Amino acid sequence: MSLMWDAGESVKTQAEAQFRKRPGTAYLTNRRLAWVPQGGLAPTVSVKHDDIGGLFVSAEGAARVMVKVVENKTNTSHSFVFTSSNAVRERNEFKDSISAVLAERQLRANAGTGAGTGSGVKGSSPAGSPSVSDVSTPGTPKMGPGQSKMSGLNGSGSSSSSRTGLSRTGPSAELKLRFELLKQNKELATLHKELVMGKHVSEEEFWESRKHLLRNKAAIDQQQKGQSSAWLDLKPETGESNDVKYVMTPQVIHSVCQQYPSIKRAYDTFVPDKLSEAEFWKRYFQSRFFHRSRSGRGANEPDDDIFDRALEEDEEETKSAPKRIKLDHINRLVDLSTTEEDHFESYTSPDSTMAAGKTKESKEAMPLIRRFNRYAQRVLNSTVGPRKPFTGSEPFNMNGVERAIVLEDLQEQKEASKIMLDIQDTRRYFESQGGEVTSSKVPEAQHRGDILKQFYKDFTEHDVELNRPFNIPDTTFTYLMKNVKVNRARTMPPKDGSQVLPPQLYQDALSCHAAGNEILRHFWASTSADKAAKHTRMVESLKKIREENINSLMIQASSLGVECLDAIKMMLKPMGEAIEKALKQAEAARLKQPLVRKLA
Amino acid sequence: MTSVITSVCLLNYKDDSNLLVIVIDTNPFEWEHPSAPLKLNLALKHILAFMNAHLAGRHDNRLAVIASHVGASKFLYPTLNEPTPGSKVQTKKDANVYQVFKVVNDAVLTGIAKLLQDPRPTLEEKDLGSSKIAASLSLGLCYINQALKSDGMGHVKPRILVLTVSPDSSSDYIPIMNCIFSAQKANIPIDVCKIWGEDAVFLQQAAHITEGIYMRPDDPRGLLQTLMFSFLPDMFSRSYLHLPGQDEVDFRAACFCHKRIVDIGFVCSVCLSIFCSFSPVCSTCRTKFAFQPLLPSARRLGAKAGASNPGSPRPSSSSTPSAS
Repeated sequence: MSLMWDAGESVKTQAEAQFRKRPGTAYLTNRRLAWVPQGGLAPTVSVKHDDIGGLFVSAEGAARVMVKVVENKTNTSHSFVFTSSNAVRERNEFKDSISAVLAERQLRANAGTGAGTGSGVKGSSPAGSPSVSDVSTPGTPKMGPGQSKMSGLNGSGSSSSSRTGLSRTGPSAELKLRFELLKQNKELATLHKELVMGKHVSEEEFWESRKHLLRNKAAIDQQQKGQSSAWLDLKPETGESNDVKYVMTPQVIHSVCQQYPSIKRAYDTFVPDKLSEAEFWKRYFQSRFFHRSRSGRGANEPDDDIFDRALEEDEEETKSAPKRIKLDHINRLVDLSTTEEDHFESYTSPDSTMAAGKTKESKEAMPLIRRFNRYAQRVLNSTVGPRKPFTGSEPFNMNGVERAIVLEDLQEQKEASKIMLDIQDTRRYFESQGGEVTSSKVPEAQHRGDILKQFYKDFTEHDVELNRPFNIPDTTFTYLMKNVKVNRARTMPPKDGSQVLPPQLYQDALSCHAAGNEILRHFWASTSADKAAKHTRMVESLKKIREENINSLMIQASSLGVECLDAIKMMLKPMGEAIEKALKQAEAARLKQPLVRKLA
Repeated sequence: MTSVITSVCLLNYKDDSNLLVIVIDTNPFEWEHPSAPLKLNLALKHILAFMNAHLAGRHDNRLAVIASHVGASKFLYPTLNEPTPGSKVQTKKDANVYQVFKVVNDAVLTGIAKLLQDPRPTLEEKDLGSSKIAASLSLGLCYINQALKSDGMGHVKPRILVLTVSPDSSSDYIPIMNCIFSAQKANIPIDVCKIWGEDAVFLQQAAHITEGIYMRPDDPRGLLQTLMFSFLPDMFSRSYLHLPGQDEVDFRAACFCHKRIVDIGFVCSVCLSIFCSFSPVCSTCRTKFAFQPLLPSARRLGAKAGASNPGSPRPSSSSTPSAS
């Protein structure tokens, strides 16, 4: 693949894409946008970055996922239809990368060096890049991350690309985001209606305080679902006249190719030069390859040189054991073979499932297990990228092992430096809660011993007679009952608006409250001098809320009875107070202002 | 009590036998005070009637009575290490009294008489007027623990009732708090009846923390009715009843230096003393703090600023350790 690129050129993004209905692969390199037909070696479409005049993208959710690029010089446009199963993600990657290129060029043009549309970049030799760097510094560092992304993560750069995509969303994208948000969030929509349609707050101000929502939404939209790991099961649709119909969508084709690399190879070789796509799949469904896993029919199929070869390749692949993984970089700490001699008496036998030819079961099961394993690996690779080559950073040297075998529990405990708790007077704790110390007052005149003696005498001289009636004062019962009533009232809170008011009125009150709070927030955020105009507007809005919205709610509630009026009064009282306070503050500021001006 | 708590109570408390530990404050300086509205023997009449009512509630209800005297705390019933007063009781047989009541009544009365007869020869100044509530609570908790251990079925439902007349004893702060937290952990409610006088702040907190009831009757002469009304129902019945009690407890903390109630203050990280302004040495535990206090502007930001400086006497909310 790398053969067809110029020296110093590297691929940033690539995706399966159709161009003029021919399948192929679209590439975005650090120099140009290119498209190579399936099986082709050289790009048939090639647009230099500086020649890209415009970028159009099909609507989100449209049937065909496409990108249209307009070439400046020739004024021709090229449309690429993305065909792979995660076409949307790939398209967005392309879109973001191309818009990044455009934005960068814009930046360079704005730098005003008069370099035109980057005549320095046109040179396809690596010598071109130094000339870029002196024209504009932002040009070169921007390329850096793109390249490293490809080499490091190889196609899994969705996180980094989404980040660049976020920062590059234009005004139209944000409008779309806002619209989507309002559609999803009903509460927000009512608030928006109340505030923006009611001309209390401008659209921009409304979203100013909700940037995080937009950011969240954008992030969610950027996130793409990974490929499904389900094993593809092609089931025919049986028509009326007993004919069999298979529906091939791009997704299905992609899955087939992913499951059977030999089919993909055959597809790459024959389509579309020697066979049409429909013909290819037709033959596929008739082939032995397709039917071998289905019961009993495989033998009757006609010979088909393409698929028979593919079948052979495929069987070869599943029969042969995967290449032995080199074992020389296994972490010593988990390498069981090094301690094998310690375990000569073992209760478990080694797993022979995957050892070739040992048992009858393994012979039958192995190809299937290998097939599943390979498929799983391919699915994993398509989302997380291939396994990183061993870097040797883990603790394989003795030092690391030594560090790992040190057991913390066996280390000598270091005496933690403690501060002894030495409380001078515990009474202080008491006093911080109980107030002043009040000990029992002993009458000065009496001796303590005398009191004790007197106490004993009093106690022994009077008998405790339980069989006499008790004289309980009447007030005790009243007091207790009062106490119980208070406690009971506390456990049963009074009814609030949600129970008393009709639902519609309750909702209105809630949204009035939300709108009032929002305006209050804007009011207090605009107290500085440079936002005076907004401030005055907010004051007007607050007055309007107070005089129109609250009053109309009150009138509605009062027509429903005293209970409703009380409930709504209770609901809106805090906000009414807050508005009063805000208006007072505004009044005070207004009175103060001319004075300040005079002084100045 | 919300419905959620009620249902929890239903799960926790079944209609089982109850172990009631009653702590009676026998502080002579309070009972014998000229302004005392009730004499001890009159109050004991009410209390004994209440004890008998408790024993009559269920055949297997159990009782323990502890006297919290000045400078001493003692079991009145059951007497643990002394010969049982039963031998003495049997000689004075009274045909009109249920035997169980008789045993308890006599044990309590003789126990108190014995306690009073033996005046403490050495009454230290700091013991003066402070009843040994903490010691009695400890005894009660230990007794409950023993009772629960020996009760194989795990059915006994313990609770503690403190009948007090003394003001809070400031030297007992830490022992009392320890008792309260032990009771809370063991799920033992502490009911408190302050028969007269000012509110007992610690015991109020004890009742609040352990989900017991705190009462201060308006008229001590109606003590029996208050006891029967508020404290007779066991934990199982309480989940169905609206009982009197004081739910609002003042947990606000005052600084140690000026006794002012503070919203934001400096707390010593070693002894948890509260101060309204920073001082390099904690005056309670003499811990030295080798750093600069936070700037006044940062202080106003409250806990956020303090969190970045661990181990410092950081501004805290007004809740005290006991409130948490």
